[in-house]
Order: sequence, then C-alpha cells, then structure tokens
Amino acid sequence: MSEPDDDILDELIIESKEHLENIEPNLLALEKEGGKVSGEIINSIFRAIHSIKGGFGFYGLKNIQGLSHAMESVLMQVRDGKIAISPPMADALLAGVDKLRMMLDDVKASESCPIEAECTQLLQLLQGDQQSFPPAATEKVVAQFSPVAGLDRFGLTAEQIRARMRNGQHLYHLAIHCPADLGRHNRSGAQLLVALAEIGDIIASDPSQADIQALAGDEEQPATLDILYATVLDQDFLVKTIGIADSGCVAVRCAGKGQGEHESAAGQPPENPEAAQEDKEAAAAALRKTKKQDRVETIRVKVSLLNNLMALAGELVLGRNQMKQALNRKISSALSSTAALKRFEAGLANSRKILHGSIQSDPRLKDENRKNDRLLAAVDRELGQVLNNFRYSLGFNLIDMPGISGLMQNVDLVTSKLQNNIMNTRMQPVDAVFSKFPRLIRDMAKKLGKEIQLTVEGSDVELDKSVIETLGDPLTHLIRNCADHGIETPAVRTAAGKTSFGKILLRAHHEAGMVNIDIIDDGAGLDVERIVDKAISAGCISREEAAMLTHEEAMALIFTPGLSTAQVVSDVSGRGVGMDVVRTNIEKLGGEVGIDSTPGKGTRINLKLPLTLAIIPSLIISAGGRTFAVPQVNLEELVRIRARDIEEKIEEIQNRPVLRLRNKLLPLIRLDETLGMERTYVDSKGVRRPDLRKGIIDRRGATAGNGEETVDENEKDTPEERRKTPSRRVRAANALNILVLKVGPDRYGLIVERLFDNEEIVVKPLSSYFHNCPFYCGTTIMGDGRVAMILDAAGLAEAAGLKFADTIKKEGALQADRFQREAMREAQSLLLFRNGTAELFAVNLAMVARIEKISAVSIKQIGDLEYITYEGSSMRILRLHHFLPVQEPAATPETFYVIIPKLVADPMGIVASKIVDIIATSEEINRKTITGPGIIGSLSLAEGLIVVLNIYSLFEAADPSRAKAGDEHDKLRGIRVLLAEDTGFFRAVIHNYLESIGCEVEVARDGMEAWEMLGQAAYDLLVTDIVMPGLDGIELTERVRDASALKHMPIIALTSLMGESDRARILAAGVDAYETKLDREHLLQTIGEVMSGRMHRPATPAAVR
Amino acid sequence: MEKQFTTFYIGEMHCGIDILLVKEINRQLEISEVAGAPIFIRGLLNLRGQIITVIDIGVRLGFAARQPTARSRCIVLKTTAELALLPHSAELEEETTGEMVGLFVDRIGDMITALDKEVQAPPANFGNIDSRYLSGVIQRETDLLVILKTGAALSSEKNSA
Repeated sequence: MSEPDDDILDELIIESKEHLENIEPNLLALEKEGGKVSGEIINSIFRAIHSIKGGFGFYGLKNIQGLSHAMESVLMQVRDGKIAISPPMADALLAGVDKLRMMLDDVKASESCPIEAECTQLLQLLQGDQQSFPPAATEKVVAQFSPVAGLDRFGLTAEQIRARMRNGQHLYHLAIHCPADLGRHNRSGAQLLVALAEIGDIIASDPSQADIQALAGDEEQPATLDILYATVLDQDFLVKTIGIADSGCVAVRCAGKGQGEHESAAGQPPENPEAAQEDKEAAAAALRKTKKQDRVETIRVKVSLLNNLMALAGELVLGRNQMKQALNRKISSALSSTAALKRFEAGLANSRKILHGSIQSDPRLKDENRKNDRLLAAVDRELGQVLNNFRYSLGFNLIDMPGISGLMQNVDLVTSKLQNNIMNTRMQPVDAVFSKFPRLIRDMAKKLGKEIQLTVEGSDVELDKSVIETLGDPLTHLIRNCADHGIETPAVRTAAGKTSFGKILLRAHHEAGMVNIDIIDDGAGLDVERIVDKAISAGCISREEAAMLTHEEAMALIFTPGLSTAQVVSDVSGRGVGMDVVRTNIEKLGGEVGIDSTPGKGTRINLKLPLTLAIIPSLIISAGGRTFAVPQVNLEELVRIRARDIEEKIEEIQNRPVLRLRNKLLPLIRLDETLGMERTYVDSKGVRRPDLRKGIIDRRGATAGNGEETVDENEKDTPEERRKTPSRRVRAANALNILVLKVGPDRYGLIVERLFDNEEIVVKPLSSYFHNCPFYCGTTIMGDGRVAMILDAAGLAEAAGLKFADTIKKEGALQADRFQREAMREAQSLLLFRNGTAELFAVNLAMVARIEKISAVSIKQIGDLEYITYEGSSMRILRLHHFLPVQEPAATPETFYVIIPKLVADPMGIVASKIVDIIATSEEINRKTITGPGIIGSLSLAEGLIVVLNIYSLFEAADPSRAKAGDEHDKLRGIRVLLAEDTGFFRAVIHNYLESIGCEVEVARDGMEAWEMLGQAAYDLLVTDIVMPGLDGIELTERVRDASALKHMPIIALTSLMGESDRARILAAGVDAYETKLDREHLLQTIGEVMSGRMHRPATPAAVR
Repeated sequence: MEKQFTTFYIGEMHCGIDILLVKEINRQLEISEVAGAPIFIRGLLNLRGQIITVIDIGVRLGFAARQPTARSRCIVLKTTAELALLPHSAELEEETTGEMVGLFVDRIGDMITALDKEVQAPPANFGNIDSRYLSGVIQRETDLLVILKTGAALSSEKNSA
C-alpha cells in the first residue's frame, strides 16, 4: 500500500465504521421482526456489508474482505428468502460485525487477525450450500438482451418470469462456457450449481440441472450452459462471484411491467395487494427516515479545533468581565469627578458672589466706578481660570463615554451567545451512548435466559462530548445491573403475575438545567434487607447503625464499595465493584445518582448530569491570602459561626473539630491546613500573622497572662490592648466561614477565610505537575487576571483524612434522643437581613431562590417602580419601608442585596442592605405583637427582635392586582379548617394563608392533638403535615379514614418530601391531595378543587384519586 | 555546526538552553502560588489567557528557593507541538513538554553562540547538581556555561535523586 492512499483508506475506515453502526440496529430489527421485516432493511445491511467488502478488497486486506464476504453470502440467502433469519444467524452476523469493527480499529493488523471462527460460524448457516468460491475478475462487457430470444428456449411465460422477479431480484441470462469457465477454475458442474444456488435462484437451464451436475468441468468437448438466473446481485458483482466472463452474463429485462424492484418485500405473497401496500409504505417510511437523517448538513471538524474555539471563547468572556470591571470603575470615577466639579463650581460661584458683594459695597471703591468694574472683571477672570485649571486637572476622568453601557451590553450579549454556540458544537446526542444498549441487552438476555424489552427515549437529548465519553461506562454498568439483578427469569416473573418479558426504560430528558437519565425496570426491585445484611457482614456498618437506617439510606448502601447482592456472581455483573464506581464517575462529572426501588415492582435509577463541563458556576473564596473556586455542585450551604459562638457550637471528637448543625455533626477541616499552607489570621491592624493555636476552639490567646504567653507573641508589644479585651479573637473577622460540601451522601465543613461572589468560571485543565494534588480539579483565570485553583471536594476530604464513619457513629448517639418530641420538631431555617436600619427581618430560607448583589446604578426606574435585570428579564424590586410600617433607611447604599424568592409566580426581589445570618430555630412565631399585611409575625431570639415576612401578602401589598387572584377563593370563605402542623413557622404561615381567604382555622401542634380535636368539633377540611412526632400525617389520615363519622372528611397533606415513593405512600393512606408546604397558590387552588369536588361528589376519597 | 543558547543565571551559575526552545521571555508577572504543589513549582502564570506552569529551575537543580527580584524573569518554552512545527525539528537535541511551562530564573544573560564540538560532556558531579538535568558544559574564557537537559528538567516526576 502506497503512502498517498492512506487518506483514502482513513476515509474508507470512517465510512465503514459508520456502516457498521447502521448494520447493528438493523440486524437487531431483522432478528426481532423475522420474516415480516421490510426488504429495505435487508437491502441496506446487504449494501453496507457489500461496500465494506468491495472497499477493503481494493486495498487487498483479505481478512476484512473475507469475513464481509462470508456475511454477505448469508445475507444474500436471507434476502432471497432462502433461509429465515434465526437467532444463531443473528449471533453469527453480530459476531461478524464485532470482528469487523475490531479489525477496522487497526486495519494494518487486520491481516493477522483470525477470522476463521466467525467465518465457520457463518458458513455453517449455509450448510448444504457448502462454501463460496473466491471471486475472479474478468473483462467487462455490457449487452442488452431481448427477452424473447432467451425466454423461448426455457419454455417459460413472461408471467412466470415476472413472478420470480418480485423480490427486487435481477434476472440474468448466463452463458457459461466449457471448459473456459469451468475447466479454467478447475471446478465441476456440480460445484458451479452450488455456487449459483448460494447467491441466487436457477430458474431454468439448458441443459438441465441434472446434466450440468454430471459435468466434470474439464471435458474436451466445448459446450455452453445457458442458465436463467435470478439474484439480488448487480451484474458486475455476479460475474466476479461466480467467476465467468462478463460477456457470458446478460441482464434480462421484461418488456411492459417493471422489474419488480422493491415493490414487494421478501417472502410476501404478491397476491395480497393490501399487505404489499403496507410494506410499500413501511419501506417508504424507512427510506424517508434515512433521507431525513442524510439531509442534516454536517461537516467533520477536529475536536482540537473546537477545544481551541472553546478556549478562545473563554478568553473572550474573561476579557469581557475585565472590561466590565474597568468600565464600572471608570464610570464611578467619572461620576465622582463630575460631582466634585459641580461642588467646586458651586463653591466658586459662592465665592464670586461674596467677592462681588464686598467689592461693590466697598466704600473706598464706590466713586471710582470704572475701577470697580475692572476689579470685578479681574475676579471673574481669575475664578474662571481656577475653574478651568481644576477642570483640566480632572482631565480624562471627566470624559464620559456616551452610549458606552449600551455598547457594553451588546458585547456582553454577543459574547454569551458566541460562547453558547461554541459550546453547542461540542454537544452530541446521547444516542452515541444509548445506541449500544439494544445490542447489549439482547446479548445479556440470551446469556441469562431472560426476556427483556428495552425502550429508549430521548436519545436526541444533547450533552457535552466529554460528558458523553465519561458516561459510557457507568451507564453500561447500570444497564447490565438492571438486566442481571433487576429483571427476573421468565418463570419467576410469570409466577409473580408479571409479563414473562421484563421491561427496561432508558430515558433522557432535560430538567432544571440538567440532563436527567432514568433507567427504570419492572424487575424484582432492591432487596433492602439483603443489602443491609451484606453491608453488616462486610463490616461497612454496624448492626446498631443498620437499625437506624431509613429506607432511602439503606438503598444508598449499594453505592458502598465492595457490595454486590447478586446471589450468583455472574460474568456479566455482580463482581462487587461497580455501583460505587458508577457514583464516583457520575460525581466526577458534577452529577448525582439517585436510586428508588419498590420490592417486586422494580427499580428506578436517576442520573443528573450537567450539560457541559467547560463553564461551571462556582463560589470564589480565599484562605491564607489565596483565591480558590469551589464548584456550586459540591456546595450545599454556607454557615457562619460568630466568634463568640465558636466555643458553643464546635466540639472535638477524636481531636477533630465537628460542628453541630441542625442535630447533625459535621466534621470540619481547615482549607489552609489541608493544603499545607501556614495557618494565618489577620489581626486587628489588618496584618497577616501566623496562627499558632492548636485547634479551632483553642482559645489560648484569650488566656494570655496565665503562663501561656509564649503562644502568641506577635502582639506582645501592646499588652494593654490585649488586656482590654477578654478574648482578642472575638471579633467579626474571627468568625468562621464554613462551606458545607457534599461528597456523595457525606457532608463536611470546609473552613475558609473569606467568601466572595459567585462566578461562572471557565475551567482549564490542571497541569500534569499537580497530579499529586488530589485537592484540585482544575484551574481558572479570575476577573483580575490572576490564576486560581478549583477545589475538589472529594479530594480535599481525602487529603484531610476525613473518615465519615466516625462522625456517623457519634451522630447515632446524638440521634438516640430524637424520639423526644422537641428534637423531632422540624427546625425552620430563616434568612436574617437588614434594610439599612437596625431592624432585623427574616424570610424562610426554603422560599429563597437566590441572593444577588446589585449595584445601585443597575436599577432601572419605570414610573414609581424599580426594576433590575435578573436572568435576562426584568424583575421588580421592593424596598420594605415602602410597604411595611418600618423605619426608612437614612441613605441608599451603592451596592445592596436582592433576595429573590421562589415558589411564587412572578417573584419580585426584596432589597436588603445586609445579609446577617441564616439561623435554624423551632421557636413559635408570635402572631400578635407585630402584625400587618406582609408580616407573619415576630420572633424574639438571641439576635434580637425579628420581623418575619409573609412574601405572598407583601407582594399583594406591592402589587394589588395580585390580590384579585385571591378573590377566586371566595367560595372557601367560612369553611372550618383544622390545621395539623408541628413546626411553628409553617403553622403560622399556613394559618395565615388560610385566613387570608376567609377560612376559620384551628391549629393542632401534632397528629395526636389533631385527632383529639377532630373528636370534639366538626371541621370541613383537615390540612395536615406528614412528618410529625408521635402520630404522623399518614397515620392520622388512616385513623380518620377508619372512623365511620369522619371517613368522608376531605384531607390535604402538606409535605416537604417530594419523592415518588413518598407521594405513593401519602396517596395510599387516603388523602385527597397533597401539596408542597410553602406554595400558597397551589395550596389554595388544591383546597378549592378538593372542596368543590367534595360538594358534588361525597364519594369515598380513595376512589376519587 | 553552530548553535545559539539563551543563557540565564541561577545564583552565580551560568546556564543555557537552546534558543529554539524559547518562546518568549517575560518580566516577572504575577505568579499565583499553588499550595500543596511540588516544591519545584513556583506557581501559575496567566500569559494572555493561557495558564503557564512556572518551574523554579533552580530548585529543580538542587538550589534553595530564591526570592523574586526586579531582575527575575520567566522564560516561556515552546511546547512539543510548537517545536514540531519548526523547520528542522528533527535535528533538535532537546525536548520540552506537551503543556505550557516557564522557567523561573534569577536573571537573563547574553545570547551565546557556540560550535557543537565546544560542548563537552558534563562532569559526573558538577557541584551538587544532579547530572540527570545536564546535557553538557561549554568552557568559556570567563566562566563555564552549563547546558541544561530540558526534557529531564521539565519532567513532572518527583525529584527522586
């Protein structure tokens, strides 16, 4: 093979691989449909194999040619309806496809690749037909043949011939010469017949087939064998295959009607016009489909080029960010210069007035009018000069750039679009991974003796190439697991009353900016008990821990390394490595794995994946004076512990600090320490000093003076200062900023020095010099041009030697008392903030979507209303003092925060001057002391008196058109509602909602209290929380449904759990509906629906739903 | 054949590398240190949007880390891909790495031209320097120019000597 051919060969290999990709699904369809399949599918397989054979034959790659030839021979028989496709045949053909693929991966080595096994397997299918002969090329002559002359000789009518030609076959008149065509190839008449029968049909022959059979091939006497032959092969291919001269083969065309072409599918009786029509349509549809796929214009682009484009787009984004910053600085300096100039001008004008006044009133100058005027002119001139000088010295600072912010916005938009588009070039449909599963499932079903039906949905959903590449292995593993462990054998399934075939649904869809991939089977489900047993025997958890696991936690155990529950460890799966690797891989991609299973019903595995890996939202933080980025996917929440609370909230277990956070213990690590940096702190004068304390709660600095002065010598020069404050570290700067990071199911706290903004950062790969640094996963360039490292949550935990099991044990002890009523109360998380005054406000954290930092210049004023741009559209913002009876802030700050709520239709942003804290409290909200629209009530906590806001009524106050929506609930006015809710906050909020539409509300603090109240008074509706101490919402519902007097009572469950299984459980208990806790609109709507449904139809509630 | 060397100083030692390997020489830009990185990594540099790993070649050769001064420079090297684009890339004796790296040096010396035959094999023990990183020495009138074996010096493997 010569060098210049390489390009063509490469092209051929790529093409052939594409052919193979198409062959596989077609073969599977062929196997499934059997004889019913349209001829077009067989033809397309045939053509694909044929072109592979031809192409590589040209390059003299005999193995590829040989194997594809053998496959082609088999396909031909199928095509001709001579043999029906059978599972062993499909096996043999698929094995052939695999081998071809393997050889194509390295064509140079293909010649040394054994193909005998595959060929033998294929040839066995042709048993009785023996084997084919190698093709021999001859010169090519094309001739037109008059049908009449040939047909007469064989004594056949045109009708008979046409009937033979229905299946898209060509009809040939072969003239085979003896000994030229037989003797030359050293074959007998019998061998010729075999060769012919293998690839087509002998319709008639002269002499008869029996006579040809008798020919030895090397007869002295020249003879010509005339054969009327039908085959799918093209003419030039036919002569090569049977090895005769081109002139000896003439195509027969029947006058009048067409050749039959693809009019009818193989094996289809032509007498049935209806079926033929259907087939025609199916074939046409199949054809259209392929055509449609062809029509998408594509171009092959090197991945490296795309990567370069991507990097450049990243640079552009960076440049834009830097430009924005610079521009903002410029604009604010221009603004302040202009303001300074204005003040200066005003000052000058004032001075001029005074001077003029004193000059004019000066009695000494009174008579000399002219002198007076001259003096005035001189003063004006001097002052003008001063002003000009000042203006000049401000210089460039004053030049404003008209329209620049519009231009900037444009650049901004184009840059984002450009980046998105470039990112899209890297997107591939998940089909790239999904397409291999039908084959996988087929092979596995066969091996395991199961029947499995795989349905694939959403294979056109697109993901970044890098995500797709990494997705292959975990997904294969999950699908294998499904087939191996999930789906039962047909016997077991039938016994359980299911269909004998198991179903697996593989589905990709978009949800919340992530791509979701579900793998759902209707198999046996997870045997949670066995998983737990296994985990105990493998030493992963102790018996005591096992007893405390929830259903979800127990299921999550399958992700523990070393657990496999398959009873028989088969060669397909069940080696006990896998699920943990799956999770690690998916998490590496920034994704999540969820599992849910019902015994006997099936299992559902959910993967959530980011669309791309190149740009990720991250929180920028610093430690030891260096900047780092923490990907948002790893970040669960931020906790700030005030210096004076450190001692109380942080304790040590086995010399490791842990934080008690909402009744869970969170292991803590320090970022600077973990990265091996010197521990430092910034002292009161802003100087960075080494931190010599041993632990976070070590307050030896505070005990200076009683023998430990050596500990902190840095500030020894000011002993007075030190004595003045009892603990010098009790300052705002010494508060701990803790990022709660998640690593799979585990959480830990990372102590950092400072928190900055959230930014979309462009990820750049980590240099290979850092391969020993597990705590980094990439680098990025910050807005200021400096390089920052991206932290890897899992790597950090590993580097710090965190053992989550230790804390879990301790947690077990902590939770032992969770059956105590108080401990089980759901704590409410409140976001505390200020509005430029000393007053503290709070909103429920569950209702906060995001907090944005906004600069005053970006507010747009339309009429009296203020708007900001949020996520590409404008959002109205509210200042609390405009709508609530609260103090008005003295000044409007340059930058402030906007709290953006969720669970509200068309949210408005709430302006906050300062975000104070997030606190968890189970205190009851006082609904009496501070009241009014927009307010739920007040809380008196250590932080002070807090006004808790009611976002819904606040928005109604701000936008009275919203309140109208509430009128729809008029008919609910006056109904008596019993509200059972153990959490004070939710109780107050929901009470508020219900009252707002005129319901009469009574509250119960838990299920038991509600049950007692139901016995004492009559209510129209029960609204109940699910998770309550003692009698929970489900048990309460069941009790109500069992009581004859109450069983028709409408019940609405409120939940913050939203899993599928929870829903099922809640509905099964007999509630009429369930709703998310804080979603007012939906809740009120649901109440309306339930109540009106009940008025018309007082049937049993379980039947209603 | 003549060869040209970009030379630089580490402390008082005069070192050189083939000029063809050099992409550009930068004045001390802002190098971001990376906590936990190998000791011979000075940090990362943003060179017009490309992140460059800056190697403290002195530390690699066994010197103590030095503070940057006004004369400190970063010699940015070509990547192997960039070297392959050179017209006579096959004749290059030294190699670099596949990623962008820079050498942190104390100051830049003259460009020096020398004949092939002037380059002598390095002595087995040249000061305390690991001979793995040396490709030869050139005896000059005033001093000794040490030619570095860039391929070895840039290896990301740990200094196992």
